[in-house]
Amino acid sequence: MKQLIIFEVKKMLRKPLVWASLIGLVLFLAIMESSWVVPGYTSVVTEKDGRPVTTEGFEAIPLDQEICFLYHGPLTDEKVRSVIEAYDISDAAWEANKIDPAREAHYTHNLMYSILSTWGFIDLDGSYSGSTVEETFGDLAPGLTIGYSTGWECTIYTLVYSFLTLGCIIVIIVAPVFSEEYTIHMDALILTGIHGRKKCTLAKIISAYLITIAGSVLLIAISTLLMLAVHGSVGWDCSVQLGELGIFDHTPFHLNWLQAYGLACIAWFGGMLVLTSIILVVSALAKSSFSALVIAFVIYILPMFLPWNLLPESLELWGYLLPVTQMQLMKLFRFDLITLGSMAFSPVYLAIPITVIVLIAGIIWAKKGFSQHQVV
Amino acid sequence: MELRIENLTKQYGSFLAVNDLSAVLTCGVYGLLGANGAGKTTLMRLLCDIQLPTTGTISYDGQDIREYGDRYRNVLGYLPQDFGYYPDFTAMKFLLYMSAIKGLSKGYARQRSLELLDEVGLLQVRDKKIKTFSGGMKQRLGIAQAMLNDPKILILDEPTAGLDPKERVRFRNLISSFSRNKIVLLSTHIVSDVEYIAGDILVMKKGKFIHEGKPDEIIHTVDGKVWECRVANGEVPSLEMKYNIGNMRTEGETTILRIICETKPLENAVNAAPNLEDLYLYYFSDEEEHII
Ligand SMILES: Nc1ncnc2c1ncn2[C@@H]1O[C@H](COP(=O)(O)OP(=O)(O)O)[C@@H](O)[C@H]1O
Ligand SMILES: [Mg+2]
Repeated sequence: MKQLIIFEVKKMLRKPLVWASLIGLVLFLAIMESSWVVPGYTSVVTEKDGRPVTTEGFEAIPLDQEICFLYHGPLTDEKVRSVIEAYDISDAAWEANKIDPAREAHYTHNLMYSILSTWGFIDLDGSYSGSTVEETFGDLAPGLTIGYSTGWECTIYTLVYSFLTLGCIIVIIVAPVFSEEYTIHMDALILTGIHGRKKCTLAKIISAYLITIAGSVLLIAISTLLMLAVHGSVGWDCSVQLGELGIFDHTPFHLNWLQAYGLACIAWFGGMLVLTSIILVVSALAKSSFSALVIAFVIYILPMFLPWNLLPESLELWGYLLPVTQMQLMKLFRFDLITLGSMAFSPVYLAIPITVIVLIAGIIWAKKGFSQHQVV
Repeated sequence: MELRIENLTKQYGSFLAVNDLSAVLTCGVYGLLGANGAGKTTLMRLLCDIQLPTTGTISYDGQDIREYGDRYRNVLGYLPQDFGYYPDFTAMKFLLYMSAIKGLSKGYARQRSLELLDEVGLLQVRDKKIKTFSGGMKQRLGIAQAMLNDPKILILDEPTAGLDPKERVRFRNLISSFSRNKIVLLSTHIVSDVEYIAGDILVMKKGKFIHEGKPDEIIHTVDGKVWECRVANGEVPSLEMKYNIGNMRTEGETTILRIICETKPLENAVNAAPNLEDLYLYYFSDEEEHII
């Protein structure tokens, strides 16, 4: 069995198209990481000698962290006001740089300032808008934690796009698993061997999942290590609503970055495993490797463009539990906790039973599809 | 050991590719002779359980091959007509992969692969990628993989396609020595392939067996229907239109024609001793252009 799995893994990976797409993924990851995480887009603007001075990249990270540490903790009206006062840059300084001071809120100061600006605490000209935390966040207001969350936020953001890309590559790698045997007429040879219909089929299925899991683990490991190296783990306890990029702005319950990261991992792994199962079935039932590739790709990408929001809310959620929409996170995290008796849990957990069911159904269906394939 | 085919039918839409066939195969080499489209490949796929028959059964030693399942596949070797391969595998690696699918142990697989590569004359190129192989080399590799598990039932679909005359002779010798206590079924539309090695010949036409028997028995069916006569060269074209003509040999101003015909075609025609090729022409001249 081990030998068959090794053969199958090699068959899947040793293809020019696969290599090209893997190189593409590495490049994509490098670009995403360098623009969001390492050193990332952090920049801090301070006023010095009557001029705004911008610090960017690696140097800006400790500077920004230093500012954030001062305010790390519960978000209060007092804190809001003190941030706005402390980091106001004088109109004269903006003008010295030929910048219109009436548009101050559009420009970076530091993370704290940006978050407050995002949530409308700051008027366009840089003055306090008068909103209170309670007005802005309603029921969520008590218990919101603010702090330095750039590392976590950008890592999750990067991983969303990396997983969407990895999904495409998994389509390319897995779609030919069975269908290519039909196309190159190896099906007749495999299906007449004693292990062809059971062990070899199983080896193909296991290899596909192994590649998916290895790819996902690698993506998460690389991104997490880079985050820890550059930003550290600080901010894990901060509220996801108080981010700068707005991924989780609409999450209607309390959630910190570490919890969100855990849920995101469930969504990504679940999405990838469901995707792999679907592609395996498509591959086993398709007539040729080309049609398998096209069909699998459409099934993967299409849900991203469907107007799920037109459905009633109870059905809408299921639309965001499909591989691609689930791995995008954003819409899925807008849904409120699901209560079941005395338990309340995030809808992301629904991905677990879905994954288990699709995994089992996929394995059975793909195995049946291939072993009962009619050779033509 | 016997392979029993009973009322086997395979229908594609309304087209009967295999039409109510019955036969019993026991140890020996069987030549399945028929024109393109006769249903040879379809029959072999049914025998290999990679296509479901529309009706009818195939049983091996009294048990339906579908019930036999993997145990049947364990004694089966198959060379498909358009046999696929992985272009980036070497010949050796391909055989090792097929060995793994056929359940051979790792050590034995290596030994057996080398042995077969030697027998089909590919030992020197065992580490070359298959995509660099000629058609004949691929075909020989295909024959080798079919024999890896020392199958009791060996089914070869047009095994000599793409082989040159020397390779064909080698193939015949290989099959002859391999076939002891085995059922070997090989299809072809090349008469000379089966003429030398097949103990029994099954002539297939439009999904049916129209004749079965030993080569010399079966030749008798065209006794008295093969004629030879000498005609002027100028007469040949018009005769070609009219008669089913086998060999033609030009000698100066005249041509000696071999005509297959129920009745005496020309005044000077004399009966000739028939061979398998005449038999083939007798049955298939109406449906096939290219005869080798
Ligand atoms: N999958 C199929 N669908 C429809 N017709 C088929 C299919 N496979 C074979 N046929 C038809 O069945 C007939 C027999 O084909 P085949 O068994 O390949 O003949 P042979 O091997 O003797 O040349 C042919 O006329 C062919 O067109
Ligand atoms: Mg054929």
